[in-house]
Amino acid sequence: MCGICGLMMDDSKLRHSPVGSILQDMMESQQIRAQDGAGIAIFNKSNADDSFKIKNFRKEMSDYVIDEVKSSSKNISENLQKLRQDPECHFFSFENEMTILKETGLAKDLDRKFGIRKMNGSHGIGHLRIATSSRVTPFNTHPFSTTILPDIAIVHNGEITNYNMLRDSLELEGFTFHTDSDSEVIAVFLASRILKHGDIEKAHREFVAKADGPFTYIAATSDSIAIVRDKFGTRKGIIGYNPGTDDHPPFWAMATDLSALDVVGATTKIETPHPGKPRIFYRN
Amino acid sequence: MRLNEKAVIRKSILDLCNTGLPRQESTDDVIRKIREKNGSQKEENLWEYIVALGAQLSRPPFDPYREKIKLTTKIGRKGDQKISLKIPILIYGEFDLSQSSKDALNLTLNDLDDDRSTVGLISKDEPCDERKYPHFQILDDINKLADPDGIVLKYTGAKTEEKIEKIRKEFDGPILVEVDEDFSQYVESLLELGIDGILVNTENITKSKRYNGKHAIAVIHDARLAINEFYRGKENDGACLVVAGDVNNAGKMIKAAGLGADIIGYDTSLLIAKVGHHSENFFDEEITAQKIFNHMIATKSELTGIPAALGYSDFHNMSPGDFRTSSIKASVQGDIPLEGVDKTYRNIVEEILDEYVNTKNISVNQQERQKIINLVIEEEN
Repeated sequence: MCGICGLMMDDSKLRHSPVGSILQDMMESQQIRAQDGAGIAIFNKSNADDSFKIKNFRKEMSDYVIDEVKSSSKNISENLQKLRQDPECHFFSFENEMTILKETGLAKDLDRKFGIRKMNGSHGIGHLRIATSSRVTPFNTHPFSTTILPDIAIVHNGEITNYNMLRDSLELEGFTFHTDSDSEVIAVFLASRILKHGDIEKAHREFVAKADGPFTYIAATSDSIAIVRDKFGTRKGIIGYNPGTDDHPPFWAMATDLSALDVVGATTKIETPHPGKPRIFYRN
Repeated sequence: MRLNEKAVIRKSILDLCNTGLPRQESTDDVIRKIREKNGSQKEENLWEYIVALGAQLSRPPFDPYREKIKLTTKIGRKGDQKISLKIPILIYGEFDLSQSSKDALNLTLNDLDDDRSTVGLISKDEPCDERKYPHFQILDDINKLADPDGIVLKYTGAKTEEKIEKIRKEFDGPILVEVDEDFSQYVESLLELGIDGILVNTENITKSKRYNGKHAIAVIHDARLAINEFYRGKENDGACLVVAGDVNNAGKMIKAAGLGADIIGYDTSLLIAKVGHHSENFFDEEITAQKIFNHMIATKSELTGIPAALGYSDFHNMSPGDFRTSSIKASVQGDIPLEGVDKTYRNIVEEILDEYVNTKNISVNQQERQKIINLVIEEEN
């Protein structure tokens, strides 16, 4: 019973909107759903430059610390190769304009440690984790990213039951996995299809057609955010619109529970995404 | 197999034919109880050592009564030439049927198609003209090509490859090749030539020298691996694996699918067609057809139960990870995790070896590591 949320600012001129603060409110309002871990991915175009960040959790004594490797497009493969060979290193993010932060514990702990509320951007996603199939560690916490393409993040509630089969076929195609979580397969699948045909909507549709089990996920790329439910609609998901105030521009919000939309005033144009049909919002 | 065990299977099939209802208990379980009661030594039937893992807290079962569990399978790698089966079954076996049995079977297969439960047929002869279901012709002589939807060729060495090249020039439908025990050496070149899948007969292959002492699950596992090897680095465009032989009940079909089979070559329907007159003093085509139909509908229902309980809405989404086994042999031959430890025997050997190498500070390259692991595994197999 994880909790997921996401938002996309509906104003192209305001790229420094208080995405972190809104996401934090949405996560805290859903805290009752899960308490083992919390994480966010926030996109801010002004962060984008020619370099990439590869973030890892490195075990030091009994704790995990974030290790950041800056790479240019020339030495990315070399750096990734080095990291893969290091057993103490757990990859979690491949970033250009995106920032992923995640930790075990509550949403408030995450904010206390990283100052989520101060983060700005155009869109973002958040996750609250209850551990069911893997251990409570920072690297098993969402969002998940991939080394195939930068700036892809997903948060997920439910289970991809045919995870083994999807992972096997993606590995056969030559794509690398970094964790044992079924959620990672969403990120890798989407990245592989974007690489193949460059169409994010088609990538989501292909995933829904191939994935089995009860799930709702929110996936963000540098230009889009999508909420997707399994074809039977067995996991919750709701979308709402906040028309904006003096403090912030209008935005679309999506979450597991209605309470998350209530708390940030996204209470107009309420809709439930149709099972099996991706609902995508693009950055203006 | 003893007479009383055969009787269990026969009674089970007749019950399905007469009632059309799924079994309360699998035939494997009933036979196992008889063997245990008689104190007889258990046969080395690895099917019996494989169990489905079942739904978990975070992975609730689908309800087959409420949600539709998909059984549909497509055969063919080309988009416009695919054959669709509503149940992943091709009727196939080595029974010599009388004309009246063939007519009964034909009647059933048409009825199943009307009932949106299409299954296909593999046979040498062209079935009757009023066929609605897909037919695969077993083609020994390429000059005798009739009007089938698909073709099955038996692999006979390099000549088969020449045949495929010739047939491909005039036939666009799916081509399946029934392979022998050496399939891993040539499957890639067959797929390169454009065949749409391979058919493995586990009963024939396990009798071969290469598979001496191994079980059907090893054949299925290896055949899937051979197809996957062809697709290394690219997306699978739909080459299928048809498994025939001893996969003759719903339980084995589900296990075979989990190990990598896409379609089952099934001979029980032929058996019912052949013995249709046994319970009466005369052969009635319609009664026999009804029995085959009931049996197939009950089998269809059985095929949805386990995948649904595993949390799948599609029969084809099962994998070895959804099963557990108490047999090291089954773990080795089918790459199935062992009960209790949730790791395959291969994984355990790898872990122990890596730990030993690290502790003793020995230098072992990848090739040597693989050789040692294979040696240990072969010892247990």
